[in-house]
This record gives sequence, C-alpha cells and structure tokens, in this order.
Amino acid sequence: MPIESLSDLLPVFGRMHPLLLHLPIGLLVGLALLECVAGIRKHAAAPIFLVFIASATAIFSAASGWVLHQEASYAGGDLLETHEALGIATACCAVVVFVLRAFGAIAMYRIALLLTIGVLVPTGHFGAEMTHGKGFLFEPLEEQAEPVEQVPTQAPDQDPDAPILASYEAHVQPFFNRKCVACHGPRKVKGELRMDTIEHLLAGGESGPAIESGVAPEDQELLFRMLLPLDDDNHMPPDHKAQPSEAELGLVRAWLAAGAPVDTEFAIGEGASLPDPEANEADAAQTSADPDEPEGPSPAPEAVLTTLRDRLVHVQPIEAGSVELWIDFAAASAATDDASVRELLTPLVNHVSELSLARTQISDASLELIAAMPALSRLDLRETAVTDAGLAQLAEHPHISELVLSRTKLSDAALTSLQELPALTQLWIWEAGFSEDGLLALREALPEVRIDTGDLQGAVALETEGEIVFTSDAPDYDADPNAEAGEGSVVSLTPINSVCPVSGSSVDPRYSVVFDGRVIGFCCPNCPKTFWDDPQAFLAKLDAGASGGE
Amino acid sequence: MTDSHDPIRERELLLTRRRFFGKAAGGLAGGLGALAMNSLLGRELGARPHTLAGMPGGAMSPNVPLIGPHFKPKAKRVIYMHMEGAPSHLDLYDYKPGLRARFNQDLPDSIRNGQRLTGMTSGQARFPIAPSVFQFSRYENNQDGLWLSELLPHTGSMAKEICMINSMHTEAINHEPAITFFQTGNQQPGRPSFGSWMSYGLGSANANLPTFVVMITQGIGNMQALSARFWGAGFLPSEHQGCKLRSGGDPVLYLRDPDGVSREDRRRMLDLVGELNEREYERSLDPEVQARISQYEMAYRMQMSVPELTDFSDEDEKTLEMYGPEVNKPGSFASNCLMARRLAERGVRFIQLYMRGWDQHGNLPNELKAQTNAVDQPQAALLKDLKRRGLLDDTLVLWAGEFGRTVYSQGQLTKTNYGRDHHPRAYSVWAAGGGMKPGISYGKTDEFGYNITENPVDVHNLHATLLHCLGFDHAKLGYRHQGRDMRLTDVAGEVIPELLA
Repeated sequence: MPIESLSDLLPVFGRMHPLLLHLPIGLLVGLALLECVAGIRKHAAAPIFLVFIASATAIFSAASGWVLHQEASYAGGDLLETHEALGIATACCAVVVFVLRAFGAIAMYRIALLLTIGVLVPTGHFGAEMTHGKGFLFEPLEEQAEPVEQVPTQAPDQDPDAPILASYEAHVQPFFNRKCVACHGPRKVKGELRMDTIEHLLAGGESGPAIESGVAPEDQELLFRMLLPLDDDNHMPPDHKAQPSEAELGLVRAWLAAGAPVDTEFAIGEGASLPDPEANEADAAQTSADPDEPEGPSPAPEAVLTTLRDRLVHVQPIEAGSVELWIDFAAASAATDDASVRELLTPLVNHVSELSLARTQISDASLELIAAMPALSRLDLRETAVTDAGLAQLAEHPHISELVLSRTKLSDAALTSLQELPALTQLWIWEAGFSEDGLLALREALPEVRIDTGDLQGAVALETEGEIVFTSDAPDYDADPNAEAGEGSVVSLTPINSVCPVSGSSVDPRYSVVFDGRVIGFCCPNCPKTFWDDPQAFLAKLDAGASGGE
Repeated sequence: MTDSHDPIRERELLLTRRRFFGKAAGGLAGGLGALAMNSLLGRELGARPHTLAGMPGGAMSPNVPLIGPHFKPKAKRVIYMHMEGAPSHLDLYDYKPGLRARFNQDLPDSIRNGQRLTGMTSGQARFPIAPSVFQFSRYENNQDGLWLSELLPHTGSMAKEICMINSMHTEAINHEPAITFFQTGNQQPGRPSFGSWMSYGLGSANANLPTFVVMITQGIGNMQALSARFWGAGFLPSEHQGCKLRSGGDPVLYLRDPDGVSREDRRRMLDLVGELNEREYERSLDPEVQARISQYEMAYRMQMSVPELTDFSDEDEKTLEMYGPEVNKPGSFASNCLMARRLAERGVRFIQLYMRGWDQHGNLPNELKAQTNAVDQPQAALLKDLKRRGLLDDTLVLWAGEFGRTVYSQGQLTKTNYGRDHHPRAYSVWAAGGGMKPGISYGKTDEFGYNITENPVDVHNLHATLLHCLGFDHAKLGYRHQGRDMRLTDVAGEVIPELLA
C-alpha cells in the first residue's frame, strides 16, 4: 500500500504496542529498584533523564495500545477494557512521577513511583492474559486433563453400501479441537467465540451466532467462514494455520445439514469419507507447533542424528529441506559392527536414502535391517564381510539403484539376488568373487545395468598420427636470426589488395593479415590494429574499391 | 527492512552488545551477563555465516555442515590436481596438426591481435610458431575420440571418463595472480580458496580428518613459488583452510606425543586448554577461539587417524603397481594420488594435489617429458581406482593449470627444442566423475591454439559448473564480509549445462 499521509502509519504505530510496552515495564521497575537501593543507602535520586524516558515510553505504550484497540478487527472483551484502563492509568501515574521528580520532591516522587508499579503490574498481567490466554501464568501448576482420543466407531464388517455414520462427540468436536480450539477455547477467546463445548459454540461470538436454526449449511457462519477464499480476511482458520481437509469440511456440512445433532448419529454424504484420524493427528501436531512449517513426512529426530554424529557417523539430508538422509560410516568404519548399525540405524529406517558401510566390520546380520529401508537408493558394502546369504535378503528391494559390492566375499550364487533388484541401474563388483562365466551371464541378464568389474585395460589408441614432419615456407631463420625478412617470407601471404583499406597508401606485403581466408595488406604496422576494430567496414571499403575498378 | 542488511548497523549492534556484556560481567549483574551471553552465542554466531537469503543456519560443530547443498548433489567430494606453472595445452591436449606445416613461420598479427605479452617475450623480434614435437593419438571416448599427446598414454586409457575442456581462458598472465584467480575467483589475495568454500559449504564427512587436505609434489621443471594462501580460508572461519600434509617425516608436525606424555595426559591437557579457551570465547565472542578449540580436537583425533591413513601396507601389490614405480616415495605424485584415493574413501571433502614445475619457458620438450612421466600413470590409476570402488560417480576430479602456453617459441626455436611463454587466452583443463559429462571434448580453439573459436569457458563459469555438481547454486553460496555478500564466483559465473552429465 502506498503511504500517502502520516495517518496511514498510525496502524503501524498501534501494532508496535507489543514492542513498546516492554520499555516502560523495564524502565519503571528498574527505576523503582534503583530508588529502593538509593533510599536505603541515602544516595541521590536517579537522574531525571531516566525518569523522563520511563514516563515518555509509558505514554507511547498507552497511546499505541489505544490505537491498536481502534482497529475494528481486534476483539478482546472485558480483558481488553480492563487492560486499557489500567494502561492509561499507568501512563498518567508515570507523568505524575516525572513532574514530582522534576520539582525535586524526592520523597513524594519515590512514593508515586511505587504506586505506579502497583498499577503497572496488573496492567501487564491482563495484557499477557490477552496474548497468551487466561490462566497462562499458573497453567503449569494445574493438573492437565488428558484429552480422550475418540476413535471412529465404524465396525469393520459393516455393509459397504450402508451410509457412513458420524457423531458430534466422536468426529465433529475432535475436529474443532484439532483446528479451532487453540484460538477459540478456554485459553484464548478470539472474536469472543469458544468452540470447546457445544454450549459455547451455540452461544456464538462477537459477530453473532455461529449456528442458527433454519439456515442452509453453507450460510451458517461456522461453515461460511471456512469456505471463504483463503485470502479473505474473514476466512477461518487463518491462512497461516493448518486448513481443514475436504473430508473435514464434508463432515461439518453433513452435521449442519442434519441440524447439528449432539446426541444422535448422522450420515455423511455419498462418496464422502470420515477424516483420517492419523492425518489429523499430524495436522494437530503441526497446529500446535510451528504453523509456518510446510506439510510433509516428519523429519528424522534431531536427537538420533546427534547420537550418530557423536559416534563420528556422517549424516546429512540428501538435499536442503529433505527428510531423506545420506549416512556414511567412513570415519567410524573400524568401530562399526552389526550391533552398532542396528542401534544407530533402526530409528532412521524410513529416512535412509544413501548408505555407505564400506570398510566396516558388518556381516550378513545387518542386511536384514537394510532390506527394510524403504527409501534406500544407493548402498555401498565395499570391503565388508557380506556373503551370498546376506545379499539374498536385499532381493526384491524396490528402490536400490546403485549397489557397490567391490571386494566382498560373494560367489556366483549371489548373481540371482542381483537379478531380483528391479530398480538396479549401476553395479560395482570389482573383486567381488564372481567367476568369468557368472559375469557373462549377469551382463546378459542385466543388459541395462552399468556393471563395473574394475578391468584395467591399458590404453589402446584408435589411431596415431604418422611421423612428424615440420614443413614451412618460412626461411631458415636459425641461420641468421638477425637477417632482414627476405622475399620468401611473404610468398604465402600475397595480399589481395594493393591499396591499404585504412590509410589509402600503397600496401607493404610485410604488414598483411589473414581474414576470412583472404590475405589483406596494409601500409604500416598500425593500420591492421585499426582494421581489427571494425573489419567489416574496412572489408566493405575494400570490396567497393575492387568493384569500382582501380 | 533494509536495516537487517546494513553491515555498519550490524557491526555497531554487535559491538554494543559485546561492550555491554563485558561490563555487566564485571559488575552487579555478572552471573546474569554470563547466562544471557551463553544463550546469545548460539544465535549470534549461527546467524553470522549465512547472510544470503534462504540459507539455513547451523551449529559450529565441525561435523555438522554449516550450509549443506542447496539441491541433491552428484558429487560429494573433490580431488583437484593443480598443475602449477601452467602445462602446455599444445603439447598435451589441444591437437593442432596444421601447425606442423607452419614451423618457424611468424605468428600472424591477426591472431595475436595486439594482445599483451609478458615481459619475457614482449621484446622478442619474432614470434616463430613452434609446432609440438610430440605425436598425438586418438583414444575412444563417447564422441569422435579424444586426441592426446604421446606423453599421456595412461591417461588415454581413461578417455571415456574424461570431460575435456579445450576452451578454458583466464584473466591473469602471471602465475601468482592466475593461481590466486583459479583458486579463489579473484586475482587479489584475500579471498577463500575453492577448497575452503567447500569445507564451509559441505562440512566434514569425517570428523577424524581435516575437511580440506593439500599435498604438494615438487616438480622436475622450472618451479614457481607456491604460497600457503592458495589454500587459505580468506575471511571464512579459519578451520576451513586447507591442511597441508607434509611429504617427508611425519605428514603432520608433532603427530606423535613426546616421550613421557601418554594419550591420557594429552587428553587432560586438551580438556583444560579447551576450558580456558571456552572462557576466553565467552569473554570476547571471537569465533576464531571457537575455531582454535575445534582444531585442537581435530589434531588430537588426527594423531590416530593420520598414521592409519598414510600407512600403505594394507594396499595390495597390484594396486601399488598400478600407480607406478614412485608410489612408495612420499611426496611423489604417485604417492599423493594414492593418498588422495585413501582420503576420498575416508570422507575427506576436498583433496588438492599440487604438482609443481610446469613453467617451461625453455627446454620444453625435455622438461615436459619428465613432468608428464611423473603424473600420467598415477593420475590414470587414480581414476581407475576410484571407478572400480564406486567412488568416481560421486567424486569430482579436476585437472587444471592456471593458464596455457604460447604457440610461438620463447627464445631459440629448433626442430627439437623450444620454449613457450604464458598464454591466458586459451588452454585446456579436464574433469572426470562427479556429475561432469564423461567422454566429451568441449570448446575449440583456432588453428594456432591461440584464440577460442567456440564455447569459451572462463574461470567463474567453471567454478559455477563445479559448484553445481556439488549441489550448490553458486549465486547462493555466500558469506557476508566487509558489508558485501562474497562468493567464489564473485558477481559472475554461469553454469555450463553442456558439461553436465
């Protein structure tokens, strides 16, 4: 938005309230502490400058708070009123404090300061409750009632054609709990609406009832808000929070269409399905965690990665932002055996994409775990003790495309296991124990796979140039390097022109250049430099001169 | 909005906080100050390295990458063989049979085109063309074959893996600035080297060894100075600088504990020193203290890991033989190539081999023969060895000098001997593995091997392409220094898709 006048900046000033308010709190409390110490030790009062800053910031905080309140979208109820009144009172008190200090009435100033703190503390408290929700301060001391997870009541042997039934208690309220109650609940009551119980929901909020009887589901405030475009200011949940899924929207629609029953079950529409409780759990976790985090598979737990790193195992995402990992045991190879592989990799079994166990002490026992890594695409088992039996466990792995088996103790029996890897594209089997015949068969069976057996052929050139003979039209300078260039030196460079294209003087063949297969002569060594600045122009000149007939 | 990107403001804020906590620590709020500082450190320093938009932060631990690749990388590590002194592309890689008929002719002015020369040949009366005295052979690659000089028969056997770039060019004409440019993306000293950027970007994959290791082979030919800042970390935290492994004696100085000091004593000493450093760090907030702590710990672990690394007794006879007769001579190119493979399979991210002695201003045919004899078999063996172990796919191998050499002879030209001066306008480098397209030649030069006629590749573009293989958008891998987001490719660089597999 273009800023046209200062008043356009006013809302910005209002929104600075959460920032500004900390200044008077800190300054006034600090000042009070200073004065306490000064009072006891009979020191002089704090400098008037400090008192001025404290009062001024108190006024700015109160003013910005008031501006913030004027924004219609902000709703806070009684809490807001109380906080606002106390805030203005604090600002007034601060002014009195400053005036007393300015007139040197130190004793009265100190008393007024303490009184100001008395007003400041409840102001801050109510402000904090608005932001964090009521009871935020003592919440850790309260016993938390574990929310009871409701499992959908759907018998597995139900008739597939029968309508799917849902209920308020088992489905609708859990959905509200997941996506709405964080802001419309006992802790925070945005828009004066609570959605944690049916009574609160029916009571409605600031902009009226959420549910009314006799209104189409889509026109009910509850659903209407969810169906607004995401960029609409009135859309709920706000655009940076987790959004309801199609199934969840369908559930609410069906519930409203059935008249919002609380005690009876209702049928959800044909083709619709109940929200997937597991996906919802993930969503719920996301809502409570960072709302800006993109959705996707969960990343590997940081604690597990730290354990690996402490053991000198290299682990890093295969690319920025990926949950898939490249894990390399290079630094820990001597200390890595089956037990440590099991211990370190079991928690990461779904995350491993590239795994190098080269030169480690593992045996076939680790292959069972490796075979269970669904995302594994590159596996390096070079110089390990794996055998045919171990490799057999990898057979049918859907994603292994690169497999390094150089210097392992395999035999031809393992060749069948290799043929059973559907995604295989590259295979390294230098000194892996296969016979010549076995390799031949393998190459035949897997023509698409690049197989590196480490054969060391020497260089075989396709062709070699013949004996080198130096020929040249140049004179034998070696005979007398200081001799003047003779006639012979320009035989191959006979210019096509007789007039220098740059100066117009006659050509001296010694100053010729080859351009575009033509030898062009100049009058002096400087003209070619001018020529190279714009050869085409001079060529045109040359051609024009030639066609004009000299 | 702009405030957070104002470096002066950032600096002021940092200083104010430091002073504040410094004072608070001495006064009434001492305990409070220390507490607050501890909680600040993580954020303050975590925020410091990443200043370009969209880059994740990270911990200071050496085992956690600070940045991590932006997208899925083809290459996980780099082996960069730098041929210091600039090998002659005309006698090794850029086949110009047409020159044989121009022996001792003057280089046409149209080719040189008034380009600057070094002081070593600018006074020469003539610039006589010196065709290569070496026979070239064509080796099978994935195109119509790769022409290589008779000096590189072993390398020829790996032609199918090599991505040859014949159209490389650079800005500097002398060794020092040209190497600096190739290593850091800038001719002026002071920027981080390629390896340091990778240490910073990729992080370590083996906490027992340095992330960036440098090894040097003394050449046979004319040698130029080789300064440690070529593998320096510039303005990056100093734990990202290259660690040079020595060729004689212990690869790392003071690797062995002195007599009478047991491993336990060493541990207790380090714990105490670490505690003192930790205190200093809390006082000064200087990240270099943190770097020092992690380097002490690294050194302690290297006391175990380096002897195992440098002990070739677990290599079989055939492998040693493959690297050539010099493999057991510490510091030889063969030995360093084998070491490079051992480092690669232990997870070291950036291995840089310097081969000195390619600066053939005179006596080129003889010196070049000796130089290539030292590198040809080992470098081919390294490629083979990586390949059969499944390591070549994710190891990016680069072979490059800082510039090329002139087609005209410096000094006396005879049919058997000549010299060549510095030539930055066109030369050849090659890469293999790690996502570079195998078995191709890219770019062309004119019939004199002097100017590029097709698909020029400059140093920034090469860097951008290599970074791409390693999973980085070169424009996003940056570090805020002196008020600017610094990059390996500075303000230039484009990925060349034709070079990617």
